[in-house]
This record gives sequence, structure tokens and C-alpha cells, in this order.
Amino acid sequence: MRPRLLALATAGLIAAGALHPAPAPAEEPINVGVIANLTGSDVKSSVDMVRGVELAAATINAAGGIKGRPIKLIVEDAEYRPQAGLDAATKLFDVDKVDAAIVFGGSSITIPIAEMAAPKGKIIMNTSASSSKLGNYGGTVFSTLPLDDIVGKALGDYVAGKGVKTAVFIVPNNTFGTGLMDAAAAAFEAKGGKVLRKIVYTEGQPDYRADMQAVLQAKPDAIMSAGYGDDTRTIFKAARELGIDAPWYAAYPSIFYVENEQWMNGKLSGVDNGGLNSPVGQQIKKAYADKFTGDPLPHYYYGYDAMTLLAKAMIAAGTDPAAVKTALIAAAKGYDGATGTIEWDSRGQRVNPPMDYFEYKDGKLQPLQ
Amino acid sequence: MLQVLVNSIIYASEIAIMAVGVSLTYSILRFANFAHVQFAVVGGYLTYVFSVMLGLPIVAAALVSALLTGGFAMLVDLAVFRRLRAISPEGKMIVSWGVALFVRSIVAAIFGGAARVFPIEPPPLSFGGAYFTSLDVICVGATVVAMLALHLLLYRTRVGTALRALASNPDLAVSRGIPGERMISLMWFISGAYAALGGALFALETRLQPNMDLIILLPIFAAVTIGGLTNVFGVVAGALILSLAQNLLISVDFGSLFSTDSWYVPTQFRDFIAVGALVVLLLLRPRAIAGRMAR
Amino acid sequence: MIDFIIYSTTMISIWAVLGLSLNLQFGLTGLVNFGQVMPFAVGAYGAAFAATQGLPVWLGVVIGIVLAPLFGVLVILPARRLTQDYWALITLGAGELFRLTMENVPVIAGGIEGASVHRLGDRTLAMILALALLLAVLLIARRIAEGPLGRLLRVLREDETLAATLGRNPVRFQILVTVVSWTMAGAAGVLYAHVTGYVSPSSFMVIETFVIWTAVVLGGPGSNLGVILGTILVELTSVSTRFIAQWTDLPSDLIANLRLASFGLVLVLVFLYRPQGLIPEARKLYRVDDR
Repeated sequence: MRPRLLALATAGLIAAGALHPAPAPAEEPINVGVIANLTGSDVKSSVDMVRGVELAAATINAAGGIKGRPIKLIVEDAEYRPQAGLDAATKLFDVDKVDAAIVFGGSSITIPIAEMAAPKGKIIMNTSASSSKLGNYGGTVFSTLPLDDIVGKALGDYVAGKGVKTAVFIVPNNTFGTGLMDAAAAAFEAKGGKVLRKIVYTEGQPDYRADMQAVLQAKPDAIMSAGYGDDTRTIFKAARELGIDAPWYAAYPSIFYVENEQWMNGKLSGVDNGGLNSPVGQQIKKAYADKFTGDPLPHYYYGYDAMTLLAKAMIAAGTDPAAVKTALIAAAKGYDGATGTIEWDSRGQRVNPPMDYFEYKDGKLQPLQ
Repeated sequence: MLQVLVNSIIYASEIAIMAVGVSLTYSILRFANFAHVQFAVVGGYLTYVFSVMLGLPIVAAALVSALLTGGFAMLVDLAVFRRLRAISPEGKMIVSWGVALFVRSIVAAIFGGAARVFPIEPPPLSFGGAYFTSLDVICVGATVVAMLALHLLLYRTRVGTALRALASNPDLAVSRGIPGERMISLMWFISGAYAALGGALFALETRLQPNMDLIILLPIFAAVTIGGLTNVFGVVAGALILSLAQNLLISVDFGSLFSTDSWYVPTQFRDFIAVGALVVLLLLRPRAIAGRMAR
Repeated sequence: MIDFIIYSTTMISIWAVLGLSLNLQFGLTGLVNFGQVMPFAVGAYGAAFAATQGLPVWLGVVIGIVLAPLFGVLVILPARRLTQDYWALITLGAGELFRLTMENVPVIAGGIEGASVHRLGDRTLAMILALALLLAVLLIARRIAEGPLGRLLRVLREDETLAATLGRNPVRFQILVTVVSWTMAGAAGVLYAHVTGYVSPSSFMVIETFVIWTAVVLGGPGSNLGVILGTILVELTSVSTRFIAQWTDLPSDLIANLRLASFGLVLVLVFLYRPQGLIPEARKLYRVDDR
């Protein structure tokens, strides 16, 4: 009885999946894939990235699309699992026949996708992973996010320049966190600073008291950090509740989730991608406020730039992926987008990102003079 | 050192109430219910809705949500588990996983996957050099009260005695006139209500998100296992032991014992310690702690 | 489209091997193992270790396939004494311990950053290897289940004392089955590493064990073909819901959540509408006068 039930269910699902509404006639749309962690942990970063892409696509379509053809986004969920990310990418490339996919997912999801996209000649726009391994996929992966070493070094130099003698690091246990930490620590120590302890916290935990306890024990002059999302709020909360008074120096403080404005006032400063306050950035921030509540996370801007650059390259070079790849590097030249000016090296990795120094005052990050 | 103790007590009480419900379900229905922790999430969200969105005071919101979640748990049993009483324990575990997946996704669909926080700012307190907040005190206090209430229920009421009889020997209990199915429904209600309370406290202490259950699944099951799967009050001890082990091992400067350099166990090994403690303890004393509730 | 079918077949085969390995161990020993992701991970990390240490690919394959059953013995020996109830949790814990070790000890195979492994460029070859592995595993599982070892283990599962009076040492055979089962899973892990080209701890989280178990209980322990069908059903549900999600115009995160909700619903419904209880394998009745 059950095998028949299963067979019936299987057949039903195949039918459901295969029946496809035929595309509308006239201007055939150009399919662009988007892969993000719509479910699982840290959903807001993904959702905001997708919103950025959607806004960019809508803007481009309103201006005539890609030589008359509208962009059609196909958004897939990576479920915060590499296997699901691969399933999504395969579906997008082999069935939906997209030539390019905009991916948000961290290295563990982006790298396997890049592995499979490279031999197919497809394009991956990376908006989140910052592992240096991504440099190995030159010609396939194009990152709107700069890799860690540049920003980390800037942070380390800055903190040493402030006269800080001892510091403790606290970063999430992923390539973003550890990459930034290693670069910043190296720069800090090169200028005479002493790193007392490197604390790497597991993401997604409800309670970081034990980790902040370790910071408290070390009694550093300053705390150096990088991180994003809800975890940072939990970290700050634990720090505040444990009475930790030391100043915080961070890479990308704009993606921190400040838990208590008063407590944080004047305590946090750092190095960020200055481009987020660019004219384009301000404009699309307003567009976000019109449609949604709250502030967008920076991945909104990275997603917007990824889609815009991709479209720009497609308009210039048509839809042949090989031609688009060459056109992408050119498309970035002179592009001043939501995340500032984007310059790509030959691997498609971002170099010379506009860096600015910020301080948290009166409820928001203000640029330091 | 006092701070480590304080941290451990706070963490233990965060998970203890939820763990208790798992143990309760296990002792009567004999399977590890993965949906239970999702009940806690539902309770947390209901508390949020009633207090933040509808303006009720927190305590009232938590109690209302406990009642509603208890009812919800009963419904889940009626709709799903009652029909599956005869299947194997692993089958029930997988079904409970399916229920958890369904509920988690619906919660995320309604409220969005992003985390929410309760807009409270408990004043920080300090005692003997250790820092905590008034919310922490309330959380620990609530746990103690909840445990006492459960103890009273289980050991001082007829209903409680019936539940314990059912846990210890279902056939005998039923043959002596204890209405099995009704007791089971009651058990689901109590489990659900306690889960909701635990979830609300947990969300107040940390944050509220739909996949909260996946994050605390292992610590809760570890606490339950260490304390003894059917020993409802053992889980509190289990939670404490787990929490202490984690916090102590991280905070000791092992390096200074052997040389002048400091060396600490890296904090990311906290999970490793939790799971390792679970495995080691299980291997060392499996039978001594199991089944005490049966008395 | 054809590439997609090749990919799906490859993945379904690998996951079916995992399901069969679990079915073998669980079906014959009755020990509920919630850590089957562990031998899978050990196999994959064998390949990853070889890659990061600069060792040849074949050595990585050997390491993966040899280490997986060793870990199996390591887990089953002490854990066997425990009552059934604790088994699921301890195996779950063991699986997590391995993953956490790989994550937090970067020198072994890259830590959280993961390790790149040689990727099988020829996708058809990958599919053929996966299918071949599936066939081999299926045949082995059948032979064991229907042979004397299988019969003994079924008796053992029902009544340990009886088996002991028959003069067989039950532990040895449970270990043997575990070794075979975990070797199968380890082989699947090695293949998975070379099919995807990258190994990271995120691929072996607790949720993957649930995926395997879902396939096994849907298909029914005791039925190997059922397990394969269960795996196909799981994969098809996952894929077809992606297509269905694509056609609607709702916000993408809402759709993603509804998609997962439907998955949970399907799982529960299939259970509710099955015949009473998980169907045990057909009990063979042997009469004295049968030959």
C-alpha cells in the first residue's frame, strides 16, 4: 500500500514541477538568478540583499531593461545549507538557464556554487563571502564586497594610531570574522600593540556571557571586533550587563546591531565602507524606507550594486556569458554606486574600496573628521 | 569566579523550564519530542504579540500565552500524535521533527525570519563583584517557582499521581482506571504551557527568532540526558552541570598553571564541551540516573 | 535540463546510499542512530585532509573509507551498553563532536573555512560512480539482510537472550553490521566531497541526519527499495516546491518559509495516512515441514 502511495506522490510532484506556465510573448525576459538564505539563521541580511537586487532590477526595467528585454529575477532559498545552495544553483543554471546568479551565503555556500559554475562558464556575483579562496575563481566570481585583508589592516593601523596598547579581539567564528581579525591583529602588532586574547564566538548562540567574561578577564585597553546581525546585539548586551567599559573599534561598524544607544554613545568607532553614504546609497535608502520598516542592512547596497553592474555589462555586451565577464570589469570603471566606487582587479575581487572612519554618537554612526 | 557561577545559573534557568517539558513528554510517551522546543518558540512569539503589540503587562502576556500554547500542544497531540501511538519511537521522533519544521516555518512566514527583541532595559545590578540584571533575577526566580509548582502538581495532587503512574507503568495505570488518553492530553497541556513560559523567559533574556529551537536543541537535550530522561527535576541539575562545565572550562587560565604565559580554552569550544560532557556523562553513569521519576 | 537530471541522479544516489547504510544498521540491530551524518563527514573529511596536506587523491579516498568504520566501532563499543532511549542522543552528540572538531581545529582540514578538493569535472562520470556505489551498497545490504547474519541479527533484535543461548556473541555481529554500514556512509562521503569539490563543516550539521532519517522512515525500515524511493520523494519534494514557489508573486522570504512548511506538512501527512505503524519487514513464517 505504501509503495503505491509513494509512487503516486512522486508522480504528482514531478507533474507539478514540470508543468510550466509558458513565457509571455514579445520581449522575452532575461532570467537572472538570486540565491540567498531566506530561511535559517541571519535571514535579514539575505532578505535585504534580495530587496536591493529587486530595487535595482525594477529601476533598470523602468529605464527600458536590457536593450528592451526586462530582467526577471528568480529567487531561490539556500536554507543556510550548502546542499540546498547547490540544488538551487543547479536548478537556476540548468533548468532556468540563467547565465548569472547573485549569491548571498558565506563562503561555505558560495564556494561550492562557484566550483560548479566555473566549468559551465556562468557568472557569480558575490555579495557576502569574503574568504580569500574566492580569488581562485577569477573570471567566475565577482565580488561587490571587498576581501578582508584591506579593511582589517586599516583597522589595525587605526587602533595602534590611537595609542591603544593592549586589545582583545572578539569576532564570529567564520571566514569573515577570522579573516578580518588576522589582518587587523597583524597590523596592530606590527605597530607595537599587544593582542591579549583572540575570542572567536560561535554564531547563532542565544547567550554570549561566557565569551564576554573572557574579555572582562583580560582587562584590555580596547576591544577590536567585526561581526554582523543579531549576534552582535547579543554580544553588546552581554558586554553592557557585565559592566565592560572599554572602547570598541570595529571593522564595518555599520553592520553591527547596536543594542543600547546610550551605552554605546561614544564607545564605538571604526573603519567602514564609506560608499554607503554616497548619493546613490542615500537614494535607495529612501526607497527602502518607503516600502519597508526599519533600516536596511549594508547587504541591501551590495545587492543593488551587484545587479546594477551586471545589467550594465549585459547592456554593453549582450547575453553571451563570456562577453559579459569581460564587460563586467569595464562596467565597474567609473561606477559610483551604493557602495561607492567599485574597482575590480583581474580576478574580479574588489580593490581600493572607499574607506572611512566613523564614530557612534547620538544614536548613529557619524563620520570622523 | 562568582561571575562564572552567576552566568551558569542564569544560563541554566534559561533552558531548564523548556527542558522539563521534554522530560515530561519523554517519561509518558517514550520519545524525544523535537516539536517541544518549537512550542517554546510559539509561546515566546505569543508573549511578544500580547505584550509588545497589544500592550498587556509582561506577566499577564506570558500567562495568557502559556495557556494558549498549552491548548495548541493538546491540539497537536489530538491531530497528529494520538493517531500514531502505535508507531515506533524513532517514527514519532521524525514526525515531531516534521511538526517542528511546519510550525517553525509558519511562525517565520507570519513574523518574518529576522530576530526580534523585547524592548526592555533591565537595570544592571551587582553583587560581590559579579554583574547581572534584574531580569536575570526574575528569570531565575521564575524558574524556581515553576519547578516548585510542578513538584506540587506531580507529588501533591491526584492528577499528578496519575501522571506518575502512567509514566511508570502505563498498562497497570490504565487497568486501574486512570483515563490514559485524557491524562496524556493533560500532559501535553502542561508541557506546552511550560514550554511557552520557558520560551518567553528565554526570549526576554536573549532574542526571539523562529529557528530558536534549532539553536537550543542540543543544550536542552543534553540537559535532559544528563539529568536523566525521565527524571523531571533532574533536568535542572543537568542544566546546571552543563552550564557550569561550559563556563568553568572557558574561564580557567590553564596556561598559568604550567608557565608564565596565559592560555585559555578558546571560547568556541563551548559547544564542544557541552556535547562532550553529554557523551562522557552518558557513558559513565547511564542507569543510575534514568527512571527515577517512576517512583 | 539534462545536466539537472544528471545532477539530481548523482545526489539522489549518494543520499540513498546514506539511507541504505542507516537502514542496514537500524533495521538489523534496532539501534537508533541519529548521527549517521558522522561517517558521511568522516569520509568527506578524509578527502579534505588529503587535499590540505598535499596527499594524492586516492590516499584521501582510502583514509575516508577506512576511518569511517573505525569511528563507528569507537561509538558503538561504549554506547552499546546504554539503554535504547539514550542511543539517539549519544549518536547525535558524537556526530556534532566530530563536526565541531573539524570546525574549530583548522589544521586538520581548513576549519570553518573548509577545504577545496579535486572536483570530478566529468559530471556523467560522477553520476555513474554514484549509481555504481548505490548498486553495490544495495547488493551488499541485500546479501547481509537475507543471509545467515541477517537472520541472526533479526532474532537478536527481537530477543537478545535467545540469540545468546544460540551461542553467538551478539556484540561481535552488531559491530560487524556497524562497520559495514559506516563504511558505506564513508564511501558516500568521499564521493560527495569529490562531486562538490569543497568540504566544510556546514555541510554536516544536525539537520542532515534528519534528512536521511526522513527518507528511511518514509520508505520503511526493512525495505531497501523503499528507502531509495523515500530518498527520491524527499529530493523531489524539495525540487518541485522550488518550482512551485517560483510561479507565485509573493515576497521571496514568505515563499521560502511556506515551501519549508509544506515539506513538514508532507512529512506529517505521509505518516498519518500510512497503514498503522511503521511496516516491519514481512515476517517470514517457517513451518517445520517446509523444506
